[in-house]
Amino acid sequence: MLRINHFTKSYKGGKKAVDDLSLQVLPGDIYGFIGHNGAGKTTTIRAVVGILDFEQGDIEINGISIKKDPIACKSVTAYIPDNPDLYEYLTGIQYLNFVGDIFRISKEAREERIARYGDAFEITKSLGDPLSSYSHGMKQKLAIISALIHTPKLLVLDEPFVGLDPKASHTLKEIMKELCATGSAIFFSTHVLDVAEKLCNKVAIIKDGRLVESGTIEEIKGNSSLEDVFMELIDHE
Amino acid sequence: MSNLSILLKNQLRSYFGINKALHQRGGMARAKGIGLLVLMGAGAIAILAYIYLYVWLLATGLASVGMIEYLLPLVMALCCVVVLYFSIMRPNGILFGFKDYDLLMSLPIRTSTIVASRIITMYLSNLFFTVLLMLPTLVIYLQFASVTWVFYPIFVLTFLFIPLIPILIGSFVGSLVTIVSARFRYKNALNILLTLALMGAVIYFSTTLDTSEMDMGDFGAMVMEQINGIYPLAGLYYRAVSNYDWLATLLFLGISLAFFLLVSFLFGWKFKAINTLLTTTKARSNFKMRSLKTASPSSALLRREIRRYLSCPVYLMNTITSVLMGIVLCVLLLFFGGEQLETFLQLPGFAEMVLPIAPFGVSLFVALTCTTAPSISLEGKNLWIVRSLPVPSRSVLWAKINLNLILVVPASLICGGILTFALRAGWKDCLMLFALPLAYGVFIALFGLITNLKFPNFNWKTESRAVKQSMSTFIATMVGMLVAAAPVVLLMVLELSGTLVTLATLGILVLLNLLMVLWINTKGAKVFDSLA
Repeated sequence: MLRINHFTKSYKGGKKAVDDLSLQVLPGDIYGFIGHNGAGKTTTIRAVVGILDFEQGDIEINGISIKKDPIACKSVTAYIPDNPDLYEYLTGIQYLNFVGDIFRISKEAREERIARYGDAFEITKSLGDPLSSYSHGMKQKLAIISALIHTPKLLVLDEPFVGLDPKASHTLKEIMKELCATGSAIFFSTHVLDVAEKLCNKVAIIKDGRLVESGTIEEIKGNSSLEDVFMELIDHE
Repeated sequence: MSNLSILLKNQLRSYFGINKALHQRGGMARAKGIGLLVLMGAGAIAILAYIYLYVWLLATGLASVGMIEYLLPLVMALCCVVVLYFSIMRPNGILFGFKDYDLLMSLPIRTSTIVASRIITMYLSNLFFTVLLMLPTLVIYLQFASVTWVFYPIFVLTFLFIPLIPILIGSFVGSLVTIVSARFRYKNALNILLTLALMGAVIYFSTTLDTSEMDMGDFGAMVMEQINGIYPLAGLYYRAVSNYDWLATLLFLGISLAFFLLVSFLFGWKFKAINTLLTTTKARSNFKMRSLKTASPSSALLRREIRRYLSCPVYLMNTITSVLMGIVLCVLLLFFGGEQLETFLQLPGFAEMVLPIAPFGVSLFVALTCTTAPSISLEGKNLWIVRSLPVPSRSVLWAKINLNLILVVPASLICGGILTFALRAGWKDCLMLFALPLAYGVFIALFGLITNLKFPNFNWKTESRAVKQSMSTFIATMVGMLVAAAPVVLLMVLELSGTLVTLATLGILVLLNLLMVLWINTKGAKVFDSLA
């Protein structure tokens, strides 16, 4: 579903934010991407969803290169950033309708999915209000709904649980499992190792732009906890 | 260093990207930042030159009737109108509702200090307009009038106090509009309508000439009465700088300062309350799922641009005023004819030249209507949305261009239609009255976008900064004015054939427009793809 091949991103001055990263996310995977602050997680994620330009390496979604055909890749991908800055001048429903129009979702499918996810996240009543009146958590929920309404094959999330109330977090986890059960894949970064340990079937640990470990959750943590393994790797690499 | 000076230093160095320019890493980036500042300086000089020319014409006229002493108060009054006009649009985002409000108010700094720093920043930025207008006026005045040494300290003292009252009146009225409209659901629409009504009132009252009771025997008093009609303190200012009246000087300074301190105190007193009112949005939370309308991706993108435009009063006011003024002038020409407009605009010889320069006149107003220049910058922190969606960058850019065209095309057609009728234009002139403004409209839409692609700024704190204090807006405005004015200069100064100049201009614009379309669809889209 997602193949990152030798992805390297350097900024001006030669500093490498990500160095020679390679990993693969298969359909059905819930893939956790873990690392300390400034490790290169967001840089990687932004490159995957086509926001960040890069020169070295390649990223393929559904076998299509993000460089060669970004539109095709974005058509099957949904992205939720860690701090979803949405259009404050739109109402919730206007924003969802906008996304629906871009993805050419039919009227019936759009209405059904917005109603379903709106109720699941308990935000339906607020959809008529301007986004400027939404709290951070409400914006997060709306961003999640906007990502789900076009049934993406690859869902990419950057710190998705930050700002969500416990019920919404639980709802999101259930939806993630449902999506993967239908053959989609999820690639998300998180600092909450507990969540990664329970939710993910695979993880990758990145440090200072380089991949230090990747594999199934069982392979990575063995008999320890993911937190212990993470601390060991980060301190001693 | 006091808290006030710390706040002022912080606010002023972020103006025009000065701080960013000076601290950019990398020689090239830093040079580019500094180069842009130099360019803006050059632009300011160009504006100074234009104002010098205009004031020179005024001074020549006044000197010919022995009334040069009215030059300074007249320009001062006009300066106050300009400051008032811009201050009505600026308070939201500068004085109230600014993005770092939470941060500043959580610091151990008195509210009154924060308010003072914002007001002083507004004063200093408006002093810029005062310098632009009064400095060339002073230079010209000294060439026509004899002054004694007393003139200079009086001029300098009064100069510093000129913008005080207009800033506070404008800010007060602008804030009132924002506060009143904040209580309504469609607050932005109401804000825009109220602001437009105010703009219209300012222009109307500053240009209304009541000639019914004039005693032509006392021309000087008549002129002064007209100037006082524009700005009531102009009489005091006249006595100060022309008659070296120290009492008038002290009264002018005293009234300005007293008013300034009183209104500043009022603002400070209600600062938190006003900001709370502005930053808390009413949520009805009563939405029920209903039937949704679908649209194509390109329609969705255009609708997004339109909603963005209508949601931001400063964005709308900064771009729509020009075409509205153009339409109003065309209507005035239709009803009053060239001679009366000559008096209204204070442009001698206007009536005779109106037909050959009419297409360029309309084109000037159209060329100053550029919504694309800040449109990419205004994506701000929302840029990730369109960049992550499956839409070609070309489509995003064309939605921005189309918004601009929605304004300029109907305006060009309306003005062309009115002028064709008003000037009884033949078919050739009629064609030019439509074709030229349309070509300029397309030009400025495309050029503004290219400028913003070259000079994007996503880190603005207020929309006002992105719209008005951006390099792309500045360049687009300067180029728009230059491109519209250059053929008129050729027409008037070199006395070339009107038809030749008009056709040549049209041809050049069409060619430039085609080249820009090609660039936008190819390289421009790639530039947009590289923005992050």
